[in-house]
Amino acid sequence: MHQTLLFGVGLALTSLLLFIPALYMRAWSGLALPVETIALIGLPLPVLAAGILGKRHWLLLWAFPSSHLLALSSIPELTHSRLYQGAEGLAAFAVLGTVGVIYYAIALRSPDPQGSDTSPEVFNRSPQAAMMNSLTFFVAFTILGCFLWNVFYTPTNDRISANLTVLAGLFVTWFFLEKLWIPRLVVPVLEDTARKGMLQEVLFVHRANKQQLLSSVVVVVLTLSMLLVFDSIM
Amino acid sequence: MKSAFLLLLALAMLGASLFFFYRSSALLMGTDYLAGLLHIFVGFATIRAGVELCRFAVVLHSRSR
Repeated sequence: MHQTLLFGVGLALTSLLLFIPALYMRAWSGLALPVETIALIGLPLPVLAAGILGKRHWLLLWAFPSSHLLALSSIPELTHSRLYQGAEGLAAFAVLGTVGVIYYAIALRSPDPQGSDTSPEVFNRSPQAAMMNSLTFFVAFTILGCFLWNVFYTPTNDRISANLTVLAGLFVTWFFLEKLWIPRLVVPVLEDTARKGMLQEVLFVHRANKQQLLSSVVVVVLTLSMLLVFDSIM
Repeated sequence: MKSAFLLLLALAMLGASLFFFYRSSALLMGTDYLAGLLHIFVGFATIRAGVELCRFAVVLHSRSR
Protein backbone atom coordinates (compact mmCIF):
# COMPACT_ATOMS: atom_id res chain seq x y z
CA MET A 1 0.00 0.00 0.00
CA HIS A 2 2.75 2.43 1.06
CA GLN A 3 4.89 1.50 -1.96
CA THR A 4 1.99 2.00 -4.40
CA LEU A 5 1.20 5.37 -2.84
CA LEU A 6 4.84 6.44 -3.01
CA PHE A 7 5.13 5.38 -6.65
CA GLY A 8 1.88 7.20 -7.51
CA VAL A 9 2.97 10.45 -5.88
CA GLY A 10 6.47 10.15 -7.39
CA LEU A 11 4.94 9.61 -10.82
CA ALA A 12 2.68 12.65 -10.31
CA LEU A 13 5.73 14.73 -9.33
CA THR A 14 7.69 13.68 -12.42
CA SER A 15 4.63 14.29 -14.62
CA LEU A 16 4.14 17.81 -13.25
CA LEU A 17 7.83 18.65 -13.43
CA LEU A 18 8.83 17.00 -16.73
CA PHE A 19 6.16 15.10 -18.71
CA ILE A 20 3.42 17.76 -18.85
CA PRO A 21 5.83 20.69 -19.49
CA ALA A 22 7.49 18.66 -22.30
CA LEU A 23 4.14 17.91 -23.96
CA TYR A 24 2.97 21.50 -23.49
CA MET A 25 6.15 22.96 -24.97
CA ARG A 26 5.96 20.49 -27.84
CA ALA A 27 2.49 21.76 -28.69
CA TRP A 28 3.35 25.43 -28.10
CA SER A 29 6.85 25.79 -29.57
CA GLY A 30 7.41 22.52 -31.41
CA LEU A 31 9.96 21.14 -28.93
CA ALA A 32 11.69 18.17 -30.57
CA LEU A 33 11.63 14.99 -28.52
CA PRO A 34 14.42 12.72 -29.80
CA VAL A 35 15.32 9.50 -28.00
CA GLU A 36 17.99 11.07 -25.75
CA THR A 37 15.57 13.78 -24.60
CA ILE A 38 12.90 11.19 -23.80
CA ALA A 39 15.52 9.12 -21.93
CA LEU A 40 16.48 12.15 -19.80
CA ILE A 41 12.83 12.94 -19.10
CA GLY A 42 12.11 9.30 -18.21
CA LEU A 43 15.24 8.86 -16.05
CA PRO A 44 13.51 9.58 -12.69
CA LEU A 45 11.11 6.62 -13.09
CA PRO A 46 13.68 3.77 -12.93
CA VAL A 47 15.40 5.59 -10.05
CA LEU A 48 12.07 5.76 -8.20
CA ALA A 49 11.33 2.10 -8.93
CA ALA A 50 14.81 1.08 -7.71
CA GLY A 51 14.32 3.10 -4.53
CA ILE A 52 10.92 1.57 -3.80
CA LEU A 53 11.87 -2.03 -4.62
CA GLY A 54 15.26 -1.79 -2.87
CA LYS A 55 13.76 0.20 0.05
CA ARG A 56 16.70 2.57 0.02
CA HIS A 57 16.25 5.95 1.61
CA TRP A 58 19.06 7.64 -0.28
CA LEU A 59 17.48 6.73 -3.62
CA LEU A 60 14.02 7.93 -2.56
CA LEU A 61 15.06 11.12 -0.78
CA TRP A 62 18.10 12.12 -2.81
CA ALA A 63 18.65 10.38 -6.15
CA PHE A 64 15.02 10.48 -7.35
CA PRO A 65 14.46 14.24 -6.78
CA SER A 66 17.96 15.00 -8.10
CA SER A 67 17.47 12.92 -11.25
CA HIS A 68 14.96 15.55 -12.46
CA LEU A 69 17.76 18.14 -12.56
CA LEU A 70 19.56 16.51 -15.49
CA ALA A 71 16.51 16.93 -17.73
CA LEU A 72 15.76 20.41 -16.38
CA SER A 73 19.30 21.65 -17.03
CA SER A 74 19.62 19.94 -20.44
CA ILE A 75 16.24 21.04 -21.82
CA PRO A 76 15.78 24.77 -21.08
CA GLU A 77 12.24 24.66 -22.51
CA LEU A 78 11.10 22.67 -19.45
CA THR A 79 11.70 25.73 -17.26
CA HIS A 80 10.45 28.28 -19.80
CA SER A 81 8.78 31.34 -18.26
CA ARG A 82 5.68 30.60 -20.39
CA LEU A 83 4.98 27.54 -18.22
CA TYR A 84 4.64 29.46 -14.96
CA GLN A 85 3.12 32.71 -16.23
CA GLY A 86 0.00 34.32 -14.80
CA ALA A 87 -2.53 32.89 -12.34
CA GLU A 88 -2.55 29.47 -14.02
CA GLY A 89 1.23 29.32 -13.81
CA LEU A 90 1.13 30.24 -10.12
CA ALA A 91 -1.50 27.54 -9.51
CA ALA A 92 0.64 25.00 -11.42
CA PHE A 93 3.67 25.94 -9.33
CA ALA A 94 1.64 25.66 -6.10
CA VAL A 95 0.40 22.18 -7.12
CA LEU A 96 3.97 21.17 -7.98
CA GLY A 97 5.24 22.36 -4.59
CA THR A 98 2.39 20.62 -2.76
CA VAL A 99 3.03 17.31 -4.54
CA GLY A 100 6.75 17.67 -3.73
CA VAL A 101 6.00 18.16 -0.03
CA ILE A 102 3.57 15.19 -0.05
CA TYR A 103 6.23 13.03 -1.74
CA TYR A 104 8.82 13.88 0.92
CA ALA A 105 6.29 13.34 3.72
CA ILE A 106 5.49 9.83 2.40
CA ALA A 107 9.10 8.95 1.59
CA LEU A 108 10.28 9.95 5.09
CA ARG A 109 7.79 7.46 6.54
CA SER A 110 9.14 4.55 4.49
CA PRO A 111 9.07 1.48 6.74
CA ASP A 112 12.16 -0.66 7.38
CA PRO A 113 14.79 1.06 5.24
CA GLN A 114 17.58 -1.25 4.11
CA GLY A 115 21.10 -0.20 3.32
CA SER A 116 20.87 2.86 5.54
CA ASP A 117 23.99 3.37 7.62
CA THR A 118 22.41 6.03 9.77
CA SER A 119 21.25 4.95 13.18
CA PRO A 120 17.45 5.17 13.66
CA GLU A 121 18.10 7.13 16.87
CA VAL A 122 19.17 10.06 14.73
CA PHE A 123 15.72 10.18 13.20
CA ASN A 124 13.82 10.13 16.48
CA ARG A 125 11.01 12.59 17.01
CA SER A 126 12.45 14.89 19.66
CA PRO A 127 12.27 18.65 18.99
CA GLN A 128 16.07 18.75 18.82
CA ALA A 129 16.08 16.04 16.13
CA ALA A 130 13.39 17.86 14.17
CA MET A 131 15.44 21.08 14.37
CA MET A 132 18.63 19.34 13.23
CA ASN A 133 16.78 17.62 10.37
CA SER A 134 15.31 20.97 9.23
CA LEU A 135 18.74 22.58 9.50
CA THR A 136 20.25 19.75 7.45
CA PHE A 137 17.66 20.22 4.71
CA PHE A 138 18.23 23.99 4.75
CA VAL A 139 22.03 23.68 4.47
CA ALA A 140 21.79 21.02 1.75
CA PHE A 141 19.37 23.05 -0.37
CA THR A 142 21.43 26.23 0.12
CA ILE A 143 24.61 24.53 -1.14
CA LEU A 144 22.76 22.95 -4.05
CA GLY A 145 21.07 26.30 -4.75
CA CYS A 146 24.49 28.00 -5.08
CA PHE A 147 25.27 25.65 -7.97
CA LEU A 148 21.83 25.64 -9.59
CA TRP A 149 21.45 29.42 -9.55
CA ASN A 150 24.02 29.83 -12.34
CA VAL A 151 22.61 26.84 -14.27
CA PHE A 152 19.15 28.37 -14.53
CA TYR A 153 20.02 32.09 -14.62
CA THR A 154 23.16 32.20 -16.80
CA PRO A 155 22.18 32.62 -20.44
CA THR A 156 24.08 29.85 -22.23
CA ASN A 157 23.40 27.01 -24.63
CA ASP A 158 26.29 24.90 -23.35
CA ARG A 159 24.39 21.88 -22.05
CA ILE A 160 27.53 19.90 -21.18
CA SER A 161 28.68 22.64 -18.78
CA ALA A 162 25.16 22.86 -17.32
CA ASN A 163 25.12 19.10 -16.69
CA LEU A 164 28.63 19.17 -15.23
CA THR A 165 27.64 22.00 -12.88
CA VAL A 166 24.54 20.11 -11.74
CA LEU A 167 26.58 16.95 -11.14
CA ALA A 168 29.26 18.95 -9.28
CA GLY A 169 26.56 20.51 -7.08
CA LEU A 170 25.00 17.13 -6.32
CA PHE A 171 28.39 15.61 -5.52
CA VAL A 172 29.45 18.49 -3.28
CA THR A 173 26.14 18.40 -1.38
CA TRP A 174 26.24 14.61 -0.98
CA PHE A 175 29.88 14.61 0.13
CA PHE A 176 29.31 17.42 2.63
CA LEU A 177 26.31 15.66 4.22
CA GLU A 178 27.75 12.14 4.15
CA LYS A 179 31.32 12.87 5.25
CA LEU A 180 31.11 16.07 7.29
CA TRP A 181 27.72 17.33 8.45
CA ILE A 182 25.94 14.15 9.57
CA PRO A 183 28.81 12.08 11.06
CA ARG A 184 30.71 15.00 12.64
CA LEU A 185 27.86 17.22 13.83
CA VAL A 186 24.32 15.81 13.61
CA VAL A 187 25.02 12.38 15.11
CA PRO A 188 27.12 13.75 18.05
CA VAL A 189 24.46 16.37 18.81
CA LEU A 190 21.62 13.83 18.85
CA GLU A 191 23.26 10.74 20.33
CA ASP A 192 24.65 10.63 23.87
CA THR A 193 27.44 8.12 23.18
CA ALA A 194 28.63 9.98 20.08
CA ARG A 195 28.51 13.27 22.02
CA LYS A 196 30.76 11.85 24.72
CA GLY A 197 33.21 10.79 22.00
CA MET A 198 33.12 14.27 20.49
CA LEU A 199 33.71 15.89 23.91
CA GLN A 200 36.73 13.66 24.47
CA GLU A 201 38.07 14.32 20.98
CA VAL A 202 37.71 18.10 21.17
CA LEU A 203 38.84 18.56 24.79
CA PHE A 204 41.51 15.90 25.23
CA VAL A 205 42.79 14.95 21.77
CA HIS A 206 42.78 18.45 20.25
CA ARG A 207 43.12 20.10 23.71
CA ALA A 208 40.87 23.02 22.85
CA ASN A 209 41.84 26.11 24.86
CA LYS A 210 41.79 29.90 24.74
CA GLN A 211 44.69 30.06 22.30
CA GLN A 212 42.79 27.89 19.86
CA LEU A 213 39.77 30.13 20.25
CA LEU A 214 41.92 33.13 19.35
CA SER A 215 43.50 31.32 16.41
CA SER A 216 39.98 30.42 15.21
CA VAL A 217 39.05 34.11 15.22
CA VAL A 218 42.22 34.95 13.27
CA VAL A 219 41.50 32.21 10.70
CA VAL A 220 37.92 33.40 10.17
CA VAL A 221 38.93 37.06 9.88
CA LEU A 222 41.72 36.17 7.41
CA THR A 223 39.37 34.02 5.33
CA LEU A 224 36.73 36.72 5.16
CA SER A 225 39.29 39.42 4.29
CA MET A 226 40.73 37.18 1.58
CA LEU A 227 37.23 36.67 0.27
CA LEU A 228 36.60 40.43 0.11
CA VAL A 229 39.91 41.03 -1.71
CA PHE A 230 39.23 38.11 -4.02
CA ASP A 231 35.72 39.39 -4.82
CA SER A 232 37.01 42.86 -5.64
CA ILE A 233 39.71 41.41 -7.96
CA MET A 234 37.38 39.07 -9.88
CA MET B 1 28.72 33.48 25.41
CA LYS B 2 31.82 31.83 23.98
CA SER B 3 29.74 29.17 22.27
CA ALA B 4 27.49 31.81 20.68
CA PHE B 5 30.56 33.65 19.43
CA LEU B 6 31.99 30.44 17.98
CA LEU B 7 28.66 29.70 16.33
CA LEU B 8 28.81 33.14 14.73
CA LEU B 9 32.32 32.39 13.44
CA ALA B 10 31.10 29.04 12.12
CA LEU B 11 28.24 30.74 10.27
CA ALA B 12 30.74 33.17 8.75
CA MET B 13 32.82 30.25 7.48
CA LEU B 14 29.75 28.47 6.11
CA GLY B 15 28.75 31.69 4.32
CA ALA B 16 32.26 32.04 2.89
CA SER B 17 32.13 28.46 1.57
CA LEU B 18 28.80 29.23 -0.14
CA PHE B 19 30.54 32.11 -1.91
CA PHE B 20 33.23 29.74 -3.20
CA PHE B 21 30.63 27.21 -4.35
CA TYR B 22 28.71 29.95 -6.14
CA ARG B 23 31.90 31.14 -7.86
CA SER B 24 32.80 27.57 -8.82
CA SER B 25 29.43 27.04 -10.50
CA ALA B 26 29.89 30.31 -12.44
CA LEU B 27 33.33 29.14 -13.57
CA LEU B 28 32.04 25.68 -14.52
CA MET B 29 29.23 27.26 -16.55
CA GLY B 30 31.88 29.42 -18.25
CA THR B 31 33.74 26.19 -19.25
CA ASP B 32 36.65 27.11 -16.94
CA TYR B 33 36.64 23.63 -15.42
CA LEU B 34 40.01 23.67 -13.62
CA ALA B 35 39.28 26.96 -11.84
CA GLY B 36 35.83 25.64 -10.93
CA LEU B 37 37.33 22.48 -9.44
CA LEU B 38 39.90 24.47 -7.44
CA HIS B 39 37.12 26.68 -6.07
CA ILE B 40 35.25 23.56 -4.97
CA PHE B 41 38.33 22.42 -3.02
CA VAL B 42 38.65 25.82 -1.33
CA GLY B 43 34.91 25.73 -0.55
CA PHE B 44 35.31 22.28 1.03
CA ALA B 45 38.22 23.45 3.19
CA THR B 46 36.21 26.46 4.35
CA ILE B 47 33.06 24.48 5.09
CA ARG B 48 35.12 21.90 6.98
CA ALA B 49 36.47 24.69 9.18
CA GLY B 50 32.89 25.88 9.74
CA VAL B 51 31.75 22.41 10.83
CA GLU B 52 34.72 22.08 13.21
CA LEU B 53 33.87 25.46 14.77
CA CYS B 54 30.26 24.26 15.18
CA ARG B 55 31.57 21.19 17.03
CA PHE B 56 33.71 23.39 19.26
CA ALA B 57 30.64 25.55 20.01
CA VAL B 58 28.53 22.48 20.85
CA VAL B 59 31.23 21.20 23.22
CA LEU B 60 31.54 24.54 25.02
CA HIS B 61 27.74 24.76 25.28
CA SER B 62 27.55 21.23 26.73
CA ARG B 63 30.25 22.02 29.31
CA SER B 64 28.65 25.28 30.40
CA ARG B 65 25.35 23.52 31.24
